[in-house]
Amino acid sequence: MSKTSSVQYRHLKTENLGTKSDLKSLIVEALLRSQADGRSLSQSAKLRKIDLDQDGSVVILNKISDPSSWVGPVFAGQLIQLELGTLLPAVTQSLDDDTDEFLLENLQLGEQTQILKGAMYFAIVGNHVALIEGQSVKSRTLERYLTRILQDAARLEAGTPVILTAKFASGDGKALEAPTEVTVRAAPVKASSQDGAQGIHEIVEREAARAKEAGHTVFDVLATLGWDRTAIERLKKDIPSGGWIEGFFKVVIKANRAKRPISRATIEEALRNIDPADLGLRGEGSEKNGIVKLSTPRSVKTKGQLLDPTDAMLQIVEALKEWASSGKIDCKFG
Amino acid sequence: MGVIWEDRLQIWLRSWPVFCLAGSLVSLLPSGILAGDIGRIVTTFLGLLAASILPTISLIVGSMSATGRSVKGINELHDEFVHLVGELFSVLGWTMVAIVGLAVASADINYQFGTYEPFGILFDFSSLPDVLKGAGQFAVGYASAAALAQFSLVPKSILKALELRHHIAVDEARRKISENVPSADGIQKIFGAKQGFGEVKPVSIVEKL
Repeated sequence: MSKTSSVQYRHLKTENLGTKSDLKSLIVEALLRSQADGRSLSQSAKLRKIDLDQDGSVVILNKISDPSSWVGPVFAGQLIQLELGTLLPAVTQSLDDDTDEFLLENLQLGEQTQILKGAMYFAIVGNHVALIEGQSVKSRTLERYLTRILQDAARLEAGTPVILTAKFASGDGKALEAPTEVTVRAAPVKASSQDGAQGIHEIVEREAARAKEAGHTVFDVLATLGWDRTAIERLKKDIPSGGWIEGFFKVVIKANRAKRPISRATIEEALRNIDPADLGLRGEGSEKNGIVKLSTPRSVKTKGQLLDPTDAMLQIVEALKEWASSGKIDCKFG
Repeated sequence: MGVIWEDRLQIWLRSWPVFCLAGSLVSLLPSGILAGDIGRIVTTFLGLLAASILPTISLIVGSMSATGRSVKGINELHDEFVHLVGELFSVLGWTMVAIVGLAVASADINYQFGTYEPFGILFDFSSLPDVLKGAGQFAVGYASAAALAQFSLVPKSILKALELRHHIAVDEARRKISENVPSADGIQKIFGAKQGFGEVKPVSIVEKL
């Protein structure tokens, strides 16, 4: 079995770290550094466990490439997020049962079992990073995890985060000109359904989407802009059944009444974790032919629900090689 | 349409009637005009033109490389280069003709030619110096026009050499990347799945709360 996954490109922002900083070397140094007990992070996955969100979940750099290969150009890793002591909500009866409603239950896993919230695979060559994001383990998680281990190993000053910028290009593959206008779409909100005929899948999907979009919806943006609750509620009521509300936030820089370009570095950092479909960039008076983040779809072998680590890494390294060979990224592999 | 007319114009500008016209116009100039400052300017110009030819040829020859090319590609490149080098040498040849013409046109011929009558046939050589100067001026005009018409090959050749070098450099960089990237076996070795990865465990470990 295989699954199509998107291999995404990221690059370390070196502005605050010095131009000679090399992410791969920094990570290797941090992993090889001896802890108080004389052991290094590279020796035990237990030592690489970090409670990043402080919400009962842990992030672990679970699998790392063999330390003997670290002198080579590639460092490879698997970052996982586990939910500790989880109750797993589920329906335990057959969906073909004739029942007025399916019973939602909590399942208790064995004491030593934790639920995998997501797994991410990444490869680092110099300051270039290619990754396959997991369900809840996104590029942002990797940034925060790396910041933490590098700061703990005194390889990074406190207050200097690791920022992995994305690379944007126009739809036709050409480099992006510095745009003069950026439009970001807030997550649209659908009118709440009045009829009760919702399938269990629909409910679960909606809940998952809601969790992902929390804080990013049109109403959240309006609240941030100072709309009071009553006004927002009234606006909500105006959405007809089956309709939805969309919102776009436009950013321009002006001086002497003329629009000024926004630098590409700013765009690549600020919008790195935003879906290109939610973005609009306008430059030199003409609408760009769509925006794409540098990424490539790859077919990765799976084992059940999990991506095969070796094949995932092979696809990531191949994608990096493809980008380097076609001149899309400034990477020499050594 | 525009491109076709542009091509036709270029072919016409490089044709011998145009060179003849240039030669005729120069030969119509007052005799001995090329002996003065104008002659010196023309000499300097032709010298510079000739000086650029040989380095360009050596640049082209040096660009001949097998990197990233098939045998067929190399043969085609060779044919193209032979043609290009031939054209460049013809520019050099025309420059030399122009220099010889210039020497003749600017020569101070003091000998007084007269009329001769061998075997009862009258030969009048009294206007021979003027004819020679006129022919020299014609040669300067014709050969300079021919050399100038072909001179665009020099920048074209340099650009071609640059393009080839770029191709070679990119190919070398790609080869280096391919050499440095770990192979599938290498990745299997350094990032192989742990035994038991993805194993399906029975649901009996799950208990209802």
